[in-house]
Amino acid sequence: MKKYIIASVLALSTILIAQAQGSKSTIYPTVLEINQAKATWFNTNNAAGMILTPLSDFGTLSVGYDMKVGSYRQQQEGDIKTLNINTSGSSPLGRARVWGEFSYQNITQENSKFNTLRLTLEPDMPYILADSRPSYFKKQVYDMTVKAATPLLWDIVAFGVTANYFTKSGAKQIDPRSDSYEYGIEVKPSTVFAFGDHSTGLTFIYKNAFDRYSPLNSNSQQDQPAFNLRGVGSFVNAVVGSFGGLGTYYYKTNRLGGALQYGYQGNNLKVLAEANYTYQVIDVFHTPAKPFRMGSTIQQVMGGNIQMVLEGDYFTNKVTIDGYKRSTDGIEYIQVIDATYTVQQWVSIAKFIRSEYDFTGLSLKYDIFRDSNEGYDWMAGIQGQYTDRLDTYIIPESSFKAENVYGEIYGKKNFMSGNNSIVVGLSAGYNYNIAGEHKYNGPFPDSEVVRDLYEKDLAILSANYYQFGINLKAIFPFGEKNTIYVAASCKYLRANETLHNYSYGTDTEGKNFWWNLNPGNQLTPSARTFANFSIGFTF
Amino acid sequence: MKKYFLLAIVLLTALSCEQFKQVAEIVEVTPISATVKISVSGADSDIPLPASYTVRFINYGENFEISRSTDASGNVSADGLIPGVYTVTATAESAGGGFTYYFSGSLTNINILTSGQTFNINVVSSRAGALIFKEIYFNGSKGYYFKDQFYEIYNNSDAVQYVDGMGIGNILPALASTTTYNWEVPDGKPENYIYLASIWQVPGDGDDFPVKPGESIIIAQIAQNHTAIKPTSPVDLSGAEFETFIVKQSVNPDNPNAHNMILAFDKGVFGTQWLVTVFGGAYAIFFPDSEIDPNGWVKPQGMSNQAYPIPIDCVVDAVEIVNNATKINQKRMPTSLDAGATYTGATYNSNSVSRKIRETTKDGRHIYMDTNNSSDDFQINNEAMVRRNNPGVPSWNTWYKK
Repeated sequence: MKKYIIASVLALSTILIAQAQGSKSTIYPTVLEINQAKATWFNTNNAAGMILTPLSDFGTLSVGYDMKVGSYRQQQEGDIKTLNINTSGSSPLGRARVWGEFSYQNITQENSKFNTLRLTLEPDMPYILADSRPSYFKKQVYDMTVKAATPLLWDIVAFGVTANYFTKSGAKQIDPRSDSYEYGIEVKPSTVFAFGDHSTGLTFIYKNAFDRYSPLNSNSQQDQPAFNLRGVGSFVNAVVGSFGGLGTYYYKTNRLGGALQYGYQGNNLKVLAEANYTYQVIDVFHTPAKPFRMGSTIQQVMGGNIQMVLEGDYFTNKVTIDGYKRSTDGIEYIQVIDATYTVQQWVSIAKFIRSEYDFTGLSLKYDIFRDSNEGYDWMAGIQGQYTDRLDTYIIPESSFKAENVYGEIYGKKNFMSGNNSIVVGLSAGYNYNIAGEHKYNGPFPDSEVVRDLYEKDLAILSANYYQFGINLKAIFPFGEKNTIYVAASCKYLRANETLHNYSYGTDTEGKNFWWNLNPGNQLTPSARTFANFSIGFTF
Repeated sequence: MKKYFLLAIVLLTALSCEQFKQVAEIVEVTPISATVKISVSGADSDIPLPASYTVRFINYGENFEISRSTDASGNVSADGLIPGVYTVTATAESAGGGFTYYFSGSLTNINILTSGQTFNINVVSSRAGALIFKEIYFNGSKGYYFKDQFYEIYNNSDAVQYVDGMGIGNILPALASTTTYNWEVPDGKPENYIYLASIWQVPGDGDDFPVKPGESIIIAQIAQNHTAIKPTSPVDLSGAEFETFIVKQSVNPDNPNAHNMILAFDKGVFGTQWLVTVFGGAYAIFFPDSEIDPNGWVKPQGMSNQAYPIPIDCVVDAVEIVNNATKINQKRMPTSLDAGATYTGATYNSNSVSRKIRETTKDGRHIYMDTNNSSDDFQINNEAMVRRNNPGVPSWNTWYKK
């Protein structure tokens, strides 16, 4: 299957590149950047609308290397080094428009803890197998997305579809280790209606994913302790290895949803608003020969965004407002073995919502571009983000909260030397923590899960920090419109004060405890560095 | 092609609808309450009854436990329970006539899903166990060596005990797992028995092998100095009182000093030695109420495994050993014999399990914990040790060298 997909993408890229030969102006990466900012419909779930605000014709191919290192990270994240290969392109196909992207990532993840199986971690998926040994993963990710839009039929309606397919494989390299595979497909058929300057769109969203993980040990004589996490510090002990040890884990995902769009496109002003909703269920179980249900999650996401683009004689201005609300219920099953000899299976006799995961995100972003033939002469921007995460375990009552506000300014200058270009960018940001707390009332307050996972993650997620970034891109045109570019970027993040220390309290029975934010100096301030180097072509 | 694509979309959407339907209308969990009523049966009138019972509501799946004491009527209510599958145990002690009496009863794997349920527990009394498993070494040692398995039986009472005719065996299923057996017994009451894969019996005429208070005997799989045979083995079993010697084999040497146990039922014995799983068996010692009939086996419904039924009333002591902590809710031994389980969590690393010392008498004799709950009574040892804590050695063992 994978080879057909790769062949399809390469064929698509070839078509796009061939189609793009008709264009004569040089495709600077800065041109692609500003074009994407202006292509408001492209930035929604509605592919059909791409016909209204089309991307320019282009093709890209790049190879890059990413690093994320440093101790300012969540426990499960680790240090990450990634080799990227990416190709993308946009072009008319007859009177229709198509856009496609394919990426391959080869990832090495080191010093990751409390994740034995998963290649992709989501904060609202509590049901994972975890162990406390610092480990490293080797992963490969193939990801392909295609968008296509018909021409505007009868000058009123267009149809489109977005399709994404990804496959990930990987393996944890230290006992308890794993063979891990994740697959998924997302399809978003859409339509758009245009009425003069106004337009409306409708999108249907469907996603299906399937993950499979096999926990195992290299040393068969030493069982490895692990934890079946259930959220907010709740867990049950597990063992990898031994007779009757944990079997293969499966995650089955289905998501349905939709989105509505409204657009206005005047002479200089473009406005596009979108509201979307998705409903997703993930079932988690292990040992398929005798399936045991770890749990299920029901996730509901409501989101909306507004894009406004104002194009003047010399400047392009863009304002983007995003809102995102995610509510997830964690369901656990009470199961018993049906001992009937013809059955001998786990049977679910009751199920309850045991935990809840709420996340709210708001962001406001303003960009200004000084237009030029090479895309832009300079650009500047400012953005603010508000995030609020609240995880709750209902019985025994526990909670985890992290509320933050983040602001960033950034800008880039395009220095031209003949046809060659050097783009230099700078950014600076600051995160202010509004609140952070972990309350735990379960039976194991001194466990590694509570102290080494949740305590340390809380320290990270509730810290104030600053970050600075610099990026450089040297662009060299060749041929009629092609460029080769070399890019490098670096961002440095550091908690600007001692990480929060947490006080330890117990109730009168000496059992329950909670962590409170306190100033202190027990945890060393930590930092994280993000670096990227890439070389690429535009066609 | 297009129609297949559309068909696939329709099918996947239908599947997703089925998945959505399964999680519809699920409510938030709320704490619930339950009541337990204690009744005592079979206690002689001269045995003093305890003032109250300790009732434990154990939900192994949740790592959750609540412990409450009954009132004078033997009733207790517990609130704040998480809906789930519980093991409920009731225990108490009383003393009289120079003896300690244990009262115990339990309910296993009961569903407490809604508030207001009442459960009755019938407790029975027993005098503190005289002969007990003191240490069990089943793990084996590095290099896949398992011939050094042994069982130490200790006289925990203050009276001489005779082990002549005592049986020892491991029950089926051999491993703690989700596989359960539905035994078919002639009297139709499978709950009254344990089902042994193999039975070894101590020889003797009834008074040949006395064990004084504070003394222990060793039953070795093979009574040899294993540290000389396999340097990774931690034990010298050449001084063992008994060995489970397979007569019709020549691979393993016979220790001329150690008495050979009698293989009374052999369905669980294969090859040249009595190997019980290194992952943890469930063991019992007992005095059978009738002669063991090699053909008196029974089978579980729909299966071919053969095991010998021993009435629970004949069991002197029983210990459930599981692979690891996650297997406790898959235990095999009836909770009336062992309400918990112990484990080492590893294989071939010389670990063993042994009882914790409850108290030491003035004359230096240890009395070990024997609450019929191995989770509480046993400890895990990094290395097996023969005659840990210096128990006495029977006087008839003239070959043991300290």
